[in-house]
Order: sequence, then structure tokens, then C-alpha cells
Amino acid sequence: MCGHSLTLCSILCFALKAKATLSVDGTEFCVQLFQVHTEKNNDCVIVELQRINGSSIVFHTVARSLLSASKNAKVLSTKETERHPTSSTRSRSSNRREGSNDRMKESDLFTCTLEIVDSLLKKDRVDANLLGVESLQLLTNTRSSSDAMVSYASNVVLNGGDFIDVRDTLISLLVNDEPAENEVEDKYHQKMRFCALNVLSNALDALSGKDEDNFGDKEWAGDDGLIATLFKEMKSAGSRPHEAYLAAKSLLTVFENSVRMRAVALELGISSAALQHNTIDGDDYPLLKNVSNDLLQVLGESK
Amino acid sequence: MDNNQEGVSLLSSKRRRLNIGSSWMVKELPEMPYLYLKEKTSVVVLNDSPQHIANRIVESAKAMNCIGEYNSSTVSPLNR
Repeated sequence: MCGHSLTLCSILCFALKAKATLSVDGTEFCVQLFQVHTEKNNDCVIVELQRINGSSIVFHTVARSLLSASKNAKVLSTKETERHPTSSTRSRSSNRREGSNDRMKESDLFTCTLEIVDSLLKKDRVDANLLGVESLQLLTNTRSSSDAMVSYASNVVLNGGDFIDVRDTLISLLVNDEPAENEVEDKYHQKMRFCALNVLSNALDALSGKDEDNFGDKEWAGDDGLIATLFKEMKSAGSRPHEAYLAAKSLLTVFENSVRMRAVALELGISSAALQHNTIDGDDYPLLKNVSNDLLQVLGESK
Repeated sequence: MDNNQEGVSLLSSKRRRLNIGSSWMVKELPEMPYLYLKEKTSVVVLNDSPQHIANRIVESAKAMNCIGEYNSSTVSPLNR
């Protein structure tokens, strides 16, 4: 009780030093700045926004802009802000929104989208990370995104581009298969890994047939590379058939598009015989069996 | 009308286009209180002066036609 009182008192005493109370469209919120002294860095400032009253949707739209601005990140322009109309200006701004959307470059939209995914993946919250990978899953799927968006997102997944961290996060999700400490953690890792496999499979599908060998040896070759990891995933077909299917599908796309990667597979000892011995058992999983058969054919031809 | 009353009346005005007309002077920042639970809508900014951060927030708020007050003193709005 005493601790609570002290905390409240300290908040009341100090908050007024650097506090702004702002209002937009009937939504009131406050912005507070705090100093945090750390051993390494004395220039750490925390910017916090709290909604006082009004619409949460408006608050979060504005908060995102203000927090981006405080971090000196790319601030949403007025035109972009109008893309999130508030209740009072919705009908009026809808016409303007259409106009601004037309003017907005498609590439800017793609970059903004991937920036959001990047920031979600970098957060230290598991739900945000999961949301980031799930978003990427949707962005690389032609059923949910435009062809241009799928192509852009797939390029980021496979080559990095301006978002090298996104690619590195995905690869680490696939390659690092460390045992979890408890059941909840295990479920979370499995879900993240499943999404990452799906993203990789989608991205490879999208970029297949473009006559570009974009498979870097650093990520794909070697005992800890993606080829070996995907093959390992195929071995667990009994317990995780869908993951095994996605891994097989990815391997098939890679081998169909790259002679070099087929050679890498043979170097790693992944031959048609090894595949037959380790992965294909029974007719329980027709999808997996079909892909595995295709894979066997491709590897058999490469001998 | 005192500052607070004036602030309330400003906040309740819906149709007038008002904007923040002065800069937010941040001289001294408070320490993060002990046991203070940060909101999710917060960010940590490294290697930047508080005044620069405040200026950027104000610029962004201006772009969104926000009205309000800094450090409990009502900002005079500008009619545009």
C-alpha cells in the first residue's frame, strides 16, 4: 500500500515536468517523457502515450505516428494519415483517400508494409513476433496479396534486400531448432517454425522459374544450412506431416531451379535412396507422398 | 477564464481548425518512477536530446491538427 502511494506521488510530482496533453477528434491523450539512466548509455529517453478518453482507434493511429516521429523514423505524412479516417471525418475523407492512394507509389506501400513486419519481428513480445511471421505468410501468398506484393515480399525473404533482418530472423527460426523448456514455449516455437516454413515455401514458389539462382551458400549449404534443415524436417513426417510437406515442397522448388543446390544436396548425402529410406512410409499423407516422389525424380535425374 | 477551463473549452470544440502554436520546452526530464508500469504505446529513444524528441512530437502533432497543453500550461491555439 505504502509502495503504491509512493509511486503515485512520484508520478504526480514528476510527470508534469515533461508532459503534453493533446487532443484530436475528441480523443484526448497525454505524452510523457522519462529519463532512464543506464550504465552504458545516459541518453535513453522513454516516450509514453496514454489515452485519457475518446476513441481507441483514433488514439492508436495517432500514437503510432507520434511514436515513429519521436524515434525519428519515417513519419506518416498527412496524406497517409488520412488513410485511417476517424469517425467524424470518415465520409468526407474517403474521397480524398482514394486520391491519395492513387498518388501513393506502390513501392512506398510495399516498403511501409515490410517496415511494419520488420518492427513486429524485432519486438521483445512473443505475440508481436508471431503476428510478424503470420503477416509475412499472408504477404507471400497469392491468395491474400497482389502478385506485385508477393514478388516483393518473396524477394525480401530470399535475398533480404532492404530488410536483411527479416530474412535473418526467418532463417534463424528454421535453422535453430532448440528444445523448448516447457510445453507453452514448445507450442509457440512450433507455430513460429510452421509459419516460417510456410513463408519460405510461398516465397520459393513465387520466385521459381525466374532463372535466377539466388541461393547463397552461406544460408543454404553446409551441415547447418537450410537444405540440411529442410531434409531433417522431412524425417519428422510421422509427427509433423504438414511441416514435412512444406519442407519437401521447398526442397523440390530449390532443386528444380538450381543445379548448384542439387550438387550441394548430393554433397550432404541427400540422395534419392536416403530420401526413400527416411521419409516415405505408407500412403497416409498423399500430398507429402506426391511431393516426395517428385523430389526423388529430380534427385534421381541429377545423379 | 483560467488556463484549465480554457483548455477544456478548447478540447471540446469540434469543428474549429486549431493547431499547436508554440514549441514544447523540455528542460528537465523526470526519472521513470519505481514500479511504474509502462504502457504498450511507448518507445525507447537512444542518443537523442529530449528537446529534439519533443520537437519532433510537436511537429507530428501539428500535422495531425492536435490541440492541447504542455506541462500543464495551455497552448494558445491558432485559427487557420
